[in-house]
Amino acid sequence: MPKTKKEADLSQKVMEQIKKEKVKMRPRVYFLVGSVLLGVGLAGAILGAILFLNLAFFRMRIHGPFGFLMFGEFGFRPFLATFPWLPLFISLAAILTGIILLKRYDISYKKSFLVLTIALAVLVLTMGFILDQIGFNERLERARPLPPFYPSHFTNQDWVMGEIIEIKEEELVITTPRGEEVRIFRQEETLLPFGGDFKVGERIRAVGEWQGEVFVAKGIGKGGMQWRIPPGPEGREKRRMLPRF
Amino acid sequence: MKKVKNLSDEALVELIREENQEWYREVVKRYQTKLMRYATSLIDDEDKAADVVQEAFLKAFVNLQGFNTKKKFSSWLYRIVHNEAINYLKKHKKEVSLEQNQWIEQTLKSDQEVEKEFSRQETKLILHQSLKELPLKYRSPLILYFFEEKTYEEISDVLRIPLGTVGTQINRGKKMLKIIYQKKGGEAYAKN
Repeated sequence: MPKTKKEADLSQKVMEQIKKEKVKMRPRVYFLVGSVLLGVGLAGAILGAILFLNLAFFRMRIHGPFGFLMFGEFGFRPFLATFPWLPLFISLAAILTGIILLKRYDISYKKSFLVLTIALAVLVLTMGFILDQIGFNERLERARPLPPFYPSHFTNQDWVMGEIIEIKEEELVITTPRGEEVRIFRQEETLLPFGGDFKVGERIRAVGEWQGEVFVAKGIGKGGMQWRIPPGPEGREKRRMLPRF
Repeated sequence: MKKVKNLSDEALVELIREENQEWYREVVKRYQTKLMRYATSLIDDEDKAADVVQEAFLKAFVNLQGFNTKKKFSSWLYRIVHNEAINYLKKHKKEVSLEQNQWIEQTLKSDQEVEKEFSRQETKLILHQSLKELPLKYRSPLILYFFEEKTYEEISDVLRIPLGTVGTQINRGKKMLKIIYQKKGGEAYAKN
């Protein structure tokens, strides 16, 4: 390597600039705050990812969007409408934020970053799943419904969900978790992927269209609405026993 | 001042932060030659390298309170210079990357005997001659290892890459250098 001719001037130049007060040392508190904010940001991102993933699991349990796909083309729009896009997107964004923040720590290159990323993803998935399984959402939903995130509707223009309260010749009457009664008209060509043997008290979903007050079904199937703590009168006692937030 | 000269980098930094900022001059003196050499090998322009190193020294001064004295100061300082140099190269698009050169990749796969032929001294000589054509990804760890005599761990801290990757990049860089050199003709190596 060639010897450098500039080196003799450098210390003089650097010190001159420092002395002229053009350059000042940042205070220690600046770095302290930065490192605290980094830690808080990382913890917040991980916590946010867990909470929103738990919410996505909850909505999968209640609306069961994949169940709509049993009805073929008729179930596609209900699937799109009930799939928890927003919580999943927020959770993914939080995980990515966590990964970016993690890169600022030395551990990100001292250990395999791929393993760290996988560990973070596994942690978020596991904690999100556990949180959902212990009924966290049911408790939170009771205290604060948070409409954009928690499932607030069980009827739409092309799908309905609820519990059977009455069975007639060509009609099923259901009540939604919100207490609305819906008459579902069953035709000969109605798709029945789980069979047509329905019982009162069963939870079902139907795809089709509204004709006045009646919902004409193109498909009826079981599933969804799997509360850990049931809604309505059934779960009222259990809910009452839960601590308030 | 004599006392200051005998202090370790980390102890000197502590003194600069707590007592007298004038002693930062000693830090600059200790490292200017090494850092100029490193920056020049990355940028290949001594004047620009001087600007980069000066800027790095000023940045290091500004952020001196953020340095953890339990860690190695030289790695921290090299990291700042490295970042400054990379920023300079990105800004001026000066680097000629050979990462996309298929002939190097292909020759590498077929040439398994290359590494055995090289002693450390010979590799140093070839580094001088062919370094400029090497992709920055391989150039930096090679310079740090052979010219700056940094350990794998220090290189890992400077470049913020895993220890295993340091070894891989050094070995791969050495092989690439050999190939580049052979493609150039190899007369100089033959003479020595």
